[in-house]
Amino acid sequence: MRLLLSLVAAAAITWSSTGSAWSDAASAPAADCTGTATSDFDGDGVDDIAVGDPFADPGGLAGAGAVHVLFGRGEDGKAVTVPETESGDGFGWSVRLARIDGDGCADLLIGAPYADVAGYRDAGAVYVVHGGPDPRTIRLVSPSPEADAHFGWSLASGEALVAAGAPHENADGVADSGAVYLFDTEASGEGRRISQESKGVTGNGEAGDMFGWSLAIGRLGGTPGEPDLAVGSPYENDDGTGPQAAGGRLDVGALTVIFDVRGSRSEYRNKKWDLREIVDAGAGDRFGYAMAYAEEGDVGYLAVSAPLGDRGGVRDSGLVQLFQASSTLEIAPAATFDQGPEGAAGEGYGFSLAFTASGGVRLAVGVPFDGPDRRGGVRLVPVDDPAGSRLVTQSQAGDHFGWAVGFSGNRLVVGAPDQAGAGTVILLGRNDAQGVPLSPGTGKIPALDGGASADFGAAVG
Amino acid sequence: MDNVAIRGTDCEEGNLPGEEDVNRPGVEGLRSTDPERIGAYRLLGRLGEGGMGTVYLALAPAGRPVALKVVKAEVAVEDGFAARFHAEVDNARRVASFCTAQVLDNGTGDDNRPYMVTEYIAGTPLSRQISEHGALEPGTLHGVALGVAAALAAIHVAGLVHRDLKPANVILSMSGPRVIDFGIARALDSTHSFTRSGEVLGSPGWWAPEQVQGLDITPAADIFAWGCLVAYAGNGRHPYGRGDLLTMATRLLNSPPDLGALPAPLNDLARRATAMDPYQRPTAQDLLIALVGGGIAAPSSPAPTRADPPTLIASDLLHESWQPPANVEPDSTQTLSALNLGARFPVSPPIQEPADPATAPSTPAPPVPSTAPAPEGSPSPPRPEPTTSPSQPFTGPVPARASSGFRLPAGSDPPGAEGTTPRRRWLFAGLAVLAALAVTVVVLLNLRGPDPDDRGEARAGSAAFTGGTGATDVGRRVTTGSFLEDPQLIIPRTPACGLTVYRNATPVRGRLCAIPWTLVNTGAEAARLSRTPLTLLDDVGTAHPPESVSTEPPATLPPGAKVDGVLVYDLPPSRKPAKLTGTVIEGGGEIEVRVS
Repeated sequence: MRLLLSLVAAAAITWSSTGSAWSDAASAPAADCTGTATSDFDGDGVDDIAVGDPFADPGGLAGAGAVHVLFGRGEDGKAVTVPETESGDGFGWSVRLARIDGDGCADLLIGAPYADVAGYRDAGAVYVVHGGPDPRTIRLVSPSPEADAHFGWSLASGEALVAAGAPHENADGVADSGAVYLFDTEASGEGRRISQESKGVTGNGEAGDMFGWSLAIGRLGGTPGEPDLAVGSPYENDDGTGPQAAGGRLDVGALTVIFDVRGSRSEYRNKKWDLREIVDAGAGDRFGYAMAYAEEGDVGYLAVSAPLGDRGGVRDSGLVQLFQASSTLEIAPAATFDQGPEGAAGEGYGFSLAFTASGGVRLAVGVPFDGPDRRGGVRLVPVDDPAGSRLVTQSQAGDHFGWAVGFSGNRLVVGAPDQAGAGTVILLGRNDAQGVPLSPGTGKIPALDGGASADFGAAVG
Repeated sequence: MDNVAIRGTDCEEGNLPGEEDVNRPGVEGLRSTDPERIGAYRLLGRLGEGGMGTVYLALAPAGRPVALKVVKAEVAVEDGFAARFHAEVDNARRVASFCTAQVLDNGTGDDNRPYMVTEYIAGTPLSRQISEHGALEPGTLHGVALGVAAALAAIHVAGLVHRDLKPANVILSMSGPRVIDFGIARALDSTHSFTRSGEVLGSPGWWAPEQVQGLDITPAADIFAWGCLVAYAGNGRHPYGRGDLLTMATRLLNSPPDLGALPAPLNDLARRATAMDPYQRPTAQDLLIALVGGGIAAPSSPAPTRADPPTLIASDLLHESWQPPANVEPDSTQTLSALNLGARFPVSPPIQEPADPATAPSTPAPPVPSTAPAPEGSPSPPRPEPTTSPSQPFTGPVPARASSGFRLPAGSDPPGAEGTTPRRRWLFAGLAVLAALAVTVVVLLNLRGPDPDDRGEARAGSAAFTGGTGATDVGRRVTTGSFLEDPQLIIPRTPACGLTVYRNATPVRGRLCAIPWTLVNTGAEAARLSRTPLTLLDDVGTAHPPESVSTEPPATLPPGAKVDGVLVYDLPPSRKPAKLTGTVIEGGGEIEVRVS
């Protein structure tokens, strides 16, 4: 049974103001979401795919943005809309399919970082679209919306805990220093704000750090069973301790891991890495640009990219740093992946990342500007055998194949938002030689009602 | 229309021609001050001289006769002239060689004077034809009108404007009318030659009103000249009469042209083409369609129906037989024969029965039509409308009337010396006809592309959108630098064109085109945006600035910021948007976004 995803206004509520409606809705009948597939939105036991197109104009609303859910291998698809979408919202800038409520079906997180909130222009919003038999939508916003904060730029979730990044928030009065908001969807209440000035978080918010640019939630060495939060600040300067407006090496980037983030209230416990503490780092590396998390058994894997890192003797050719943690070991750096001498400056190795533990732990590294014509590619890296990596390409000049990557079960999902202009997603099964291209208006994937796709595949999840 | 020439056939055999016979009309001998060679080209004679330079008949290294135009030293010394000249010629080389003299080469001579090399078109300039033989017959006139319109279409599609179309620049050759001398006018125009040589580019009487007024020159200026040229060729007199520069300019701006009596549809087309308002004139493609029987739409009415397939039009076009004026063939033959080139460089149209070199070994002249040519110097007799399909060869004996007085180089021209046996010639003929067909279809397809169906109000949704064809950059992220560090521009949707109103703005020239845009800065630095808005190039390469109703981007785009807007352009009737050009970021590189 396919779900009707055209969501009615009554289902869309603002989390912060009408939390009680959530409790009523949560008492819905049990679902048939009994499969093991972690991104099964419709409950048929098969993993699904979410695809964002933040520049689409559904219903003639310029730049409102659109999201499609593609079922299984793309045999069917639905466009997801929310009624309050307005022109220029950028709905679908970020997407993530993950189990959030307890019904066993995947739920859909959608960022709309350019949505106006309470009169604040481009403050940003996040939508939680619940999958399974009880479709309902919740809108998450900052409890104190700020213009141009871009809440929803990045998303992460771990069960009921949802994190939304607002990297352009002038947190603590510092321009674009950035903040992250946490929502516990099992409890009602406002989102909780974390910035670099939060107690116990190492470092200081400095202008343009963009803390919250990327996010992940997982098992990263805190109390077993408690979620830990990883936050990327790719524009953090490597300038030592204490707040400094300038100086040091610009935009090297940093990673902050906050342990047991759900339970902490008065003071956080965290660990922070500047890139130079792990590898040779230089100005402009942008460590923390993208991240991805997976776990296998007791081990949690976190990959964090620096797409302009200098590795393999090639400046700005990009790198991806792997971290590992377990119930007994706190998070620590592991292998560093790069393109070796084949890399070239500005190819964007690590522009996007995705992890899967299904069928061995594999990392997908998007290289969307690979090739002289920027056709792009994706490097698939088996974590236990990095030498066995392979480059996946199924693209033409200017496609930007690998702008976004994701996994749907063990299938690789690659966004090529500039393929044929309007964008394509390529679905590649583990043993497939050739991927399946999917785009709105082809097969059973519906074209947008009253509008056109523009950047389909800019986000996948 | 069989305006097809075989070019580039084997010209390497045989002796090089001498210069002693260069004494025919149209070709003068070299003067003592002329160099022997310019670049790799050996000069043979002079084809003409103007205020800007000299045109020579020359031989390419492979033995092919070419026209070589070299700029006068005093023009060439001007700062930056050579660069402009070569840039213009490079553009001209993109023009399809369909009813034009193909631009073959350009370079700079030993004396630093830039030159350009084109095909040598043997034939009679239209100006000389009219002055010596009077008005053209209706059939020939129609062929000239069609051929020149086709040439203009090819020139305009390449994004160029001829700027100096006049009867002297239309050569009536055996293979059809050919337009010459395009491509460098703009380079010449931007010199200060007005004060230096006393000659204004373009020629009085062949200017469009906007040229006289010093306004922007668009392809419509060539259309105006086309209308005057057709009237001149059909009546034997200029539609604005004779007079000096000031007289002609005054008449041009104050009185309608006297188009005389022209056969339909040329009367109507010439009238439209000579409209004072350039935006009211048809395009070259409109003229082409009308001349092959497709009719022409008034600028305010819908574009020609798309129902009739281009192939039909193309075959119609091919059935328009070119009738060269009776005097043309011998003249061109003599010119080439004078250079002993005729035998080795066929200029004859492929439809003709080739002279058999085995049976006429001493006849270097190319074949001529069976129709007996009129005596030189007298008006050509009326000709019947063509009834012969161009796929049918003319038959009959080939008079070798050009042979007297011309020597055949000893030992030359054994059977097959042209490198083309009759059988091979027929192959060439077939290929050439196919090539003409292909070019025609391309030209017409260009015209028959999607037209806006909805000419009504601008409104939300996609109803007014044109269906884009081919590769465009719509939906693509475009950056001037790094995708990680610099702002990106996205044209998310195909332009909405054919609008009669956008918000409170209404078009002045034709119809409005609204192009949505999004700029997003995913980098860490605030980007200063260019204060110069993007220019829209239409499908013939004319640049259009945006209308004031367009969204003005902010001065700076902070990190993470996204702005959406609309650029609105006023396009003349039947023009389609092609690409946006300009800079997005202050001091940034030039971008180019194909929008349809």
